[in-house]
Amino acid sequence: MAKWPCMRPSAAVVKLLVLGWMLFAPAPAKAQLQNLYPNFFELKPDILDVVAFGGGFGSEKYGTIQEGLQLDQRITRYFGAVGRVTGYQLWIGDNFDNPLMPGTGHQPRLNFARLLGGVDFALYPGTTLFVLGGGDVGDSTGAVIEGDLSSWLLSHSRHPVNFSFSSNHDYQNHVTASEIDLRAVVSSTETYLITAGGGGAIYGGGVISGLAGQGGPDLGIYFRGYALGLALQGGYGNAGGFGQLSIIKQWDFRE
Amino acid sequence: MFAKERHPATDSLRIALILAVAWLYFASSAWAQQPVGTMTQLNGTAQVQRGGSTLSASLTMALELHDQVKTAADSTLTITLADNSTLSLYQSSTLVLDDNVVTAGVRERTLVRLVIGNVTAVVNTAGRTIAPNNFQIYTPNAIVGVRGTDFDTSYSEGVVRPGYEGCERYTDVVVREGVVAISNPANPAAVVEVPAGYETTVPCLLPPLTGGPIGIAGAAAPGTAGGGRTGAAAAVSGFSAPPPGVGSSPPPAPPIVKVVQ
Repeated sequence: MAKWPCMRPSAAVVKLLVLGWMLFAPAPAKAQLQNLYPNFFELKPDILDVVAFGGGFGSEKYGTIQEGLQLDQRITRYFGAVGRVTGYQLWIGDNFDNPLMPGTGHQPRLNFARLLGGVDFALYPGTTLFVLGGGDVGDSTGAVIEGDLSSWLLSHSRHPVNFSFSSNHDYQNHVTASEIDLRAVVSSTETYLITAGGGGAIYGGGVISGLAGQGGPDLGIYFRGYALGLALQGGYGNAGGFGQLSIIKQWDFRE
Repeated sequence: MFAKERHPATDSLRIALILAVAWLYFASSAWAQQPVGTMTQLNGTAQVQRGGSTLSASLTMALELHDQVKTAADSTLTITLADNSTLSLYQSSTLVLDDNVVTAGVRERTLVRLVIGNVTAVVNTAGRTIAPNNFQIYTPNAIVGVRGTDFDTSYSEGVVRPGYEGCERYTDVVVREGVVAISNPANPAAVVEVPAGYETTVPCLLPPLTGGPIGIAGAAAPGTAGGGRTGAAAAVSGFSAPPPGVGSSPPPAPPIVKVVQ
């Protein structure tokens, strides 16, 4: 018996049903949505958040420096549009293969830029989720997808805890890289905020057999008046001992 | 009929009573008209409601007890009180100077009522420590008792925030110096002390939430809720430690495979 193609619930149909529910939901459901996410559909493009960032990673096998800019334009209270450009410089240890294009031999230095765009969701106070896609140009040319989650737990306490998880997949070397960090507020004053915790990165897939990674404790400080943050991490992993420095500077432009 | 004999002491008492009432009446009038502060900064337009009349605010204008000060959109002003404490009122805000007792330049008691909007108080402590609750800011759902010197109070209505189950009235307090004790008049026994570097929110009739670090606990500071202290850069809403995917992005994949020589 021939099947009716239209009877098969494809992903598109499910999406349409969800959209239809959101638009034409019965009154109780709408009220619930209003309580959970007040003014969900109200356009509120009143904030442009600009973040300049930079940093470096050094280990026994390789080192990187990265620098970039991220623009986040709010669209509603709950999501915004994000664009990010990052420049990377890699120094590869002697005799190691190119990690971006395995099998092409040793190159002491590689340069590339990563261009990503996507959306960010702020579906709960203190929690943000970025979903990005794009690609590399330069010595790396692969497509990349990335997801970043940051969430503050126990935010109404003296020592809130931040959980952040960032994962990307590179379609050129087929490596999935993830960074997980857990840090707590140690001290908060009018001028600065200090965090301490630990975390690390995990690599899998592609040229990496099994899992590789590194981890260790980290320490951060954020200067409120300058909207400037510094974070330091050190530890050990597959690349040997490592040290990492991150710097961010934020600007908020409001209507 | 015998005329009732008046006792001289009764007459004296009556005269003293009349004089006392008259003194109280005129003295209280004089107190009411005594300036409690001065407008020392004004950007844009503002109005002062005094008694039944509405006055346009102006720089160096003397403010009296019970004056209601209201700023227009995109307008800010600063009031310097008699003890040199300052109240900075942000746009679309209204406050009332309910009480201000100053003796020889030293504050005994100050009560300010924030009807709507944002106010930053910088309390002068020169020469004395602040007795608990001798400087208080009231909002419709919070009492902010000051033991600190520099803090923001914001009161907003008509906006629902996620996670508060439909509540539309919030008082946010951001403390930069000292300690501020906050309670809700609906539940005055539940007092939360917020130290410098922390902030809290009082939602509707609920007790204040425990203070969390500024920028993380989610209280709206002036600049985010319609005010603006020193411009956009100071209005950074929060520290997301570090922004996802920026400070926390993993470095590119490590080189694992050695090239065969």
